[in-house]
Amino acid sequence: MRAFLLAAVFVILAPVVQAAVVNALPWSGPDLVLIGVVAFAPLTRHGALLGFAAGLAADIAPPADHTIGRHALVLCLAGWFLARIPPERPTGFGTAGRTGRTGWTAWAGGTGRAGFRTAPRPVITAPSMMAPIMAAPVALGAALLDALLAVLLGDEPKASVLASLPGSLVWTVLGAVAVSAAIALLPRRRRSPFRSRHA
Amino acid sequence: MRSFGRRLPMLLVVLSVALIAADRWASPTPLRALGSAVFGSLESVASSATRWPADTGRIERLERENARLRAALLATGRPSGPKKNKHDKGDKSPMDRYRVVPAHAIGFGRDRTVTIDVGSAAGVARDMTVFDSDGLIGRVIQAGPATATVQLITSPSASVGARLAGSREVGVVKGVADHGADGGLIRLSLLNPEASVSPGDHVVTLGSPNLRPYVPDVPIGSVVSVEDASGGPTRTALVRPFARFSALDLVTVVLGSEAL
Repeated sequence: MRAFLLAAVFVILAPVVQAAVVNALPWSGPDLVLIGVVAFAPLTRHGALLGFAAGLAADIAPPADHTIGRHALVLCLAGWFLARIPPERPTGFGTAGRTGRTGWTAWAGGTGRAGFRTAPRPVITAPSMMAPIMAAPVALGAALLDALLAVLLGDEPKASVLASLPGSLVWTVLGAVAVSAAIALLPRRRRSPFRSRHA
Repeated sequence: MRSFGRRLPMLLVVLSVALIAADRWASPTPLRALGSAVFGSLESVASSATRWPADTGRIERLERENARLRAALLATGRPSGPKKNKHDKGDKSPMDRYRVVPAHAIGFGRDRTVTIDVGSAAGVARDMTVFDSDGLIGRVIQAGPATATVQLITSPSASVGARLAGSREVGVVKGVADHGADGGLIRLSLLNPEASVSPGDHVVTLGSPNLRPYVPDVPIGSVVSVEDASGGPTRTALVRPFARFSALDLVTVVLGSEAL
């Protein structure tokens, strides 16, 4: 429940802060919604839902004028992908039998859905150190896919997208890595209630 | 439950694609209105909160400006701003004849759009002219209940009918996509390839029928460089807008003509 409320607050406030504060700065700033999804999706089983909701919010929050559904699609895919990162192999929680199969090996070696099926995962999972490592390529991929869709859907001319892409890529990728690394390095006791209750 | 959880991402992807398709082929007005009501109101609150410390000084400044304009009105019989009397043809300033509504810029988009804190409740609708005390800002492209979205004239997809203030040559002003050396500049294409244009010339709006999307004779900017386009079908020049888009605050929306 607490996780749900936090996610709702993020979904509602991120586009507002983006429009009212970040974009008002004279230089091109980071994409807070994308960074938030990349940072928070590995913590939850419902990454796709988080990405979809945050993306749809960014799509309809004024002054957005692009095709509705563009960010929703991109962030839904990014959240889906990141939510499949298995939690850190916990030691000392007494769940060794189960985590042996949900570990990184199962996720990487399995074919597609294998990682999903092996074990039910709690709604909130401990962030693994994989999250900050995956954050950079996923943020990069999502930003590039978004730019590609912007051109394909006719939201922005190609020259304009190409001109603004490098700056926003740097901001967004660095921001995503920084935030997800900060979350992964949070003190362990803050996460343990979630794990001990579900595991 | 678990099988629903597994299928949910796929459903959401399909839903996103459906939304994109709906936006392409139908009008997504309810969703935009919802966005304006929820996120626009929050932007309004955030913007008021950040403006609040500056407001005391602003009132004093506005009172001084008001007093100065009243004095000018008494002296000349009509108001005259420092910028306007340079390009005004005849006896009308852009503000005189229109019903207008003042607004604050409260949110900024990545694709050269701005949210203003007035919406259809205040009579704002699509394709209305927006300008500030410096010059033309853009036009309203969406009007939600509490907020409206303005497309800036620097947007690459914006296109404004324009004319040179002096020679009355007619042309079109478009945003420049490149953010580099030409950042913030717009490009004027004059229909007459032989038209004479030189740096420093002022550009004003041409005006549209029924005043929408643009009312006539609003200052747009001044020519900074004439581009060498020998043999081209049009004569082009780069124009620096009068409006400072990085410091937008108080703007004016033209609702319509006074006579209506």
